[in-house]
Amino acid sequence: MPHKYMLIYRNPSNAQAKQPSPSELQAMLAQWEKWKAAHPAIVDMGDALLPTGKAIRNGVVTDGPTAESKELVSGYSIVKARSYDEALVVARACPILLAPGASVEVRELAGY
Amino acid sequence: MSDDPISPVLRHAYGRVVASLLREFGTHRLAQVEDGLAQAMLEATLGWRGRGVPSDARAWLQRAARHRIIDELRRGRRQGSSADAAQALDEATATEATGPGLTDDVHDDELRALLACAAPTVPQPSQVVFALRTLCGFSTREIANRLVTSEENVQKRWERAREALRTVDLDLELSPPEWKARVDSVLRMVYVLFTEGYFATEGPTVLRLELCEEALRLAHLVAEHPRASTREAWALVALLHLQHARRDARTDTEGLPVLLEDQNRALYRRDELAMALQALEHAASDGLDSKYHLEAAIAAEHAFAPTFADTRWAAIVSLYERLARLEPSPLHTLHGAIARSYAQGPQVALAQLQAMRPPTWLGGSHLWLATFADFHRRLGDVERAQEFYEQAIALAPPLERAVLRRRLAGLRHH
Repeated sequence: MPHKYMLIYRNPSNAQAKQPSPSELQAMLAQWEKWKAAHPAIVDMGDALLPTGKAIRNGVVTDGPTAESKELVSGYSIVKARSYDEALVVARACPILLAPGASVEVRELAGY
Repeated sequence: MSDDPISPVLRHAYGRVVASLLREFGTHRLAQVEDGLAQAMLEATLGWRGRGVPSDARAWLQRAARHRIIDELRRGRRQGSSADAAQALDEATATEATGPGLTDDVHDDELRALLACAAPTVPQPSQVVFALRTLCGFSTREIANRLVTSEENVQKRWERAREALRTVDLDLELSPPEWKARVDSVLRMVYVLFTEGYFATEGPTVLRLELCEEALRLAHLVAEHPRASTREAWALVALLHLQHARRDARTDTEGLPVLLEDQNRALYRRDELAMALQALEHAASDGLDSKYHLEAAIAAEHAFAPTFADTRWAAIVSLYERLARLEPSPLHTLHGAIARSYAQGPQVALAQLQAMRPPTWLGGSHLWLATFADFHRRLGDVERAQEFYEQAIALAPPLERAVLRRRLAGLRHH
């Protein structure tokens, strides 16, 4: 019985220093497409998060992901798999890991 | 990330967006334009992940970059740091209603940027870097790989261009002689760009070919533009097509250069030779008056000769003589002598070179020595040929060294 897993992408918060060139961007996008095509288990490519935002804590609204955090959640995708092991195969091949310092967290959806 | 060449779609889209934004915001705001585009590229990295490069990539990038630049200018105005920023902002918001410049002729924008970068205040090595970075969308590292130089060097050249462009007038209100001089300067820059790719003896062939392709694109841009086009521009287009059409025959499967006499002429690209002929028609005039005309005529003789032996060598000799008169250079004399060796025999050509006093950079180069070696070989003087080949091999860059070694080995077998 397959379950859904969320791959949560994290990148170092200072990672924006390195801008991709147009060719690098195109090559990077090609990697994502290749990944998508190679793994039918990916049921939703998900989305990416812009590095800005708002946060509410104790009733106070602040700007964006906190400056002190070393990592930012940068996006997510959803895969359908029978086990963590299966989900990890997809996660391991994810192009996000080509970015220096990036990580993927794999979490099973509760499913309600 | 690998450095394999990929389709230039996004690079060219990027170049066109830079050109449009530079026209809108001015060349003196090159830094802001680049920053805005870098932000847009970063958003694209995230947003296009699930769907690849969208078909409207250029419009998307331009819109996103424009917003970033305007945000930046607003911030500048709030901080009261710059009256210039306020003015730019007013201009930018005024054009907002008519759309962000996308309805304008893109080629016109690209040509403006190209003409701006060929301003006399920008040193030529910087012009080439500027064109590669802004109009062709290469990064500093990618340019360094293609020009076989260091990233620092490219960065320095880039900064020199940016500094000089602070004062360049992008409206191009030039007098007719200034206009002509500027177009000539663009053609020279495009010629240098092509030569970097065509004659480079280092670096992977595929990357060098990319430079040739970019040079061709820019040459077409000038030649096809109603106001910028000149007969020289068409002659340059013809020359570049004639050379580039021979690319598959110029290197063997190991990437070593193949000498003209050994090239398989069936590999010359017929469709591109046809384009060259069309360009030559546009370039035609009463006389072959520019260096591009003469070089194109020489290249055409080679490209259309059915075999090496059936080349019209006498015609080539006289073309080189005219080229040497137009633009005196001992290199033209050397090439003319090589043609003469096939028209009138190696003895005559050798005598011509022996009577010459070449400058040290040429006389002590592998080109000069290899020519002497070849002449002696064809005259049957194996011993002297061997001496010259050995000297040439010692001085030649790696790829050409391999070719000369092959020649030397062949000499010993006979």
